[in-house]
Amino acid sequence: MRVHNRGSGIWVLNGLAIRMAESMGLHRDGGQLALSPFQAEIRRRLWWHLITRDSRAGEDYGLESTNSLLLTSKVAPPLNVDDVDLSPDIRELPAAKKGWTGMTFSLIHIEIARAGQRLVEIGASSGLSSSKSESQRAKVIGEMRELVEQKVRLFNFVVPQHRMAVSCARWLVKKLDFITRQQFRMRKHPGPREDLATDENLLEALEILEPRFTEMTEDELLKQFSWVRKVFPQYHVTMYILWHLCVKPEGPYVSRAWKSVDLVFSDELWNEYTSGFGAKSAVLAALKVKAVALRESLQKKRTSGLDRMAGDDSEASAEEAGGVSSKDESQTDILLGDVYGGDFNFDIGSDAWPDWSILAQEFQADGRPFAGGF
Amino acid sequence: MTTPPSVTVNGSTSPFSASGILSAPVFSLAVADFHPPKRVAVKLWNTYVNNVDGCTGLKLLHIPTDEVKIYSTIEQPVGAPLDHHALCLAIFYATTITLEENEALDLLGQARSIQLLKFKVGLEQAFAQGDFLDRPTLTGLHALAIYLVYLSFVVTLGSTVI
Repeated sequence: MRVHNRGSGIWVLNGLAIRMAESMGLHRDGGQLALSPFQAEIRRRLWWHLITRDSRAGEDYGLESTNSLLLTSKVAPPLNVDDVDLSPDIRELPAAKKGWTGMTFSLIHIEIARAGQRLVEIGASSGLSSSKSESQRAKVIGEMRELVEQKVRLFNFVVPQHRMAVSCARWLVKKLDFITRQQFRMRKHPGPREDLATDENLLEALEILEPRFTEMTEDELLKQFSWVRKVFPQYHVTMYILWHLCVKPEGPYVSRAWKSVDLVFSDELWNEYTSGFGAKSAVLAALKVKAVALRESLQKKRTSGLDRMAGDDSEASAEEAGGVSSKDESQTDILLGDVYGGDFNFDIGSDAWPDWSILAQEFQADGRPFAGGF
Repeated sequence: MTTPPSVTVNGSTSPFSASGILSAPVFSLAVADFHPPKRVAVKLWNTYVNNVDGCTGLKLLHIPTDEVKIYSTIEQPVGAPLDHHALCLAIFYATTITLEENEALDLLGQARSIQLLKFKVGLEQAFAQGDFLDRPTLTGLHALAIYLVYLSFVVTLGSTVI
């Protein structure tokens, strides 16, 4: 399979942009250079934009970096002020505002990106079985949630820009919590991961993904922002849902899950005709094919099973009344057997929730150095 | 479902490739020619301010000072500094991406992919002709930062890029 990974081209260019910024001294806080307060502040915005963008590589391209500038940069974060509070001739910067400003959402972004980076580093430094890592993770998430909530409290629900920002912010927090919790559990329990495919996890994933469709389509005031969903397609959560459907094709939330999957694929992901984030979309598409095949074969087996049962009535109906338990479990086992032996041209073994770094290693040209980390 | 010939399969020949940012200067191409009609340009800028600035990644621009650069370049593109051109074209590119397909057609009077490509080539030429790699400016870097956020989007547009 030929994968043209042009997504990483953008990541590379982002690195170039950071280099250019460094050549202009943006990596040093403007307050320590002979710059006007205004210039220094504008440079802070740009610098923090570039380094938080870089940290998105994890989701966009399946790459994770453990030496991010996010945690080491000496540049002060930008102030929570509106543009009208700044002008080129100010002698000193105003105090940060307490209320919501044009920069508040940006500052929330920085907090989330920094927490994400901390988690990458905890993950990279703690051993596979470290039981401390989950409590460290929960602590980082808790602190981030608190910081974000402090800022979110400032918003005015009536203003669409605020509403949009708050909804995105809460959603980013939930997503980071969910994804990293699964990743940390996975590393703690290597081997078969079916036990990660719980109804509880699936419900949580759906509750993260679904509002993206409902809020943006049902809230008329948010229509103007419907593009945001397309600019940031959600790979990780979608991948969990698809993986879950492969491992556990039945359960109380399965039909809800299929609805979301269909929406994502009809709307959010690039289609097979375009070049793009090759690796991830290809993996999602393959997972979907697998999940669909599983669902169909399950349906087929159930129908033929029912036909047979129609012949010897009493036992069959007793079993029906008794619920789905043992019979369906064994069916799932059979199906999973098929899956393990599946002939996909890359390994997305259904016992493991595929990890982007593994995928990145498999997809990106041999031996390129940036697939480390998680 | 039809596919635009320009955005097809392997991608290596896609004109939306990120690598265009490292273009060589072609001085026969005047950057000013890549701007849309003025009323369209103003609309795109206003949409950017309302719907886009501060919504993806971080808020970068300082509107009161940057709008002066934008409006001067829109009004008098010939002879405007190349980094101001770059900023305008990056903003046009970004905003065009965020429009719904029918809005884009109404406003631009042309298929979105054609316009996007025009903005993209104009931006790349503004960088190349301005020797941006060796002589970066803050405004040029703003342009690059905005452009890079939205460049990733064209690949997710799928069939709607037509």
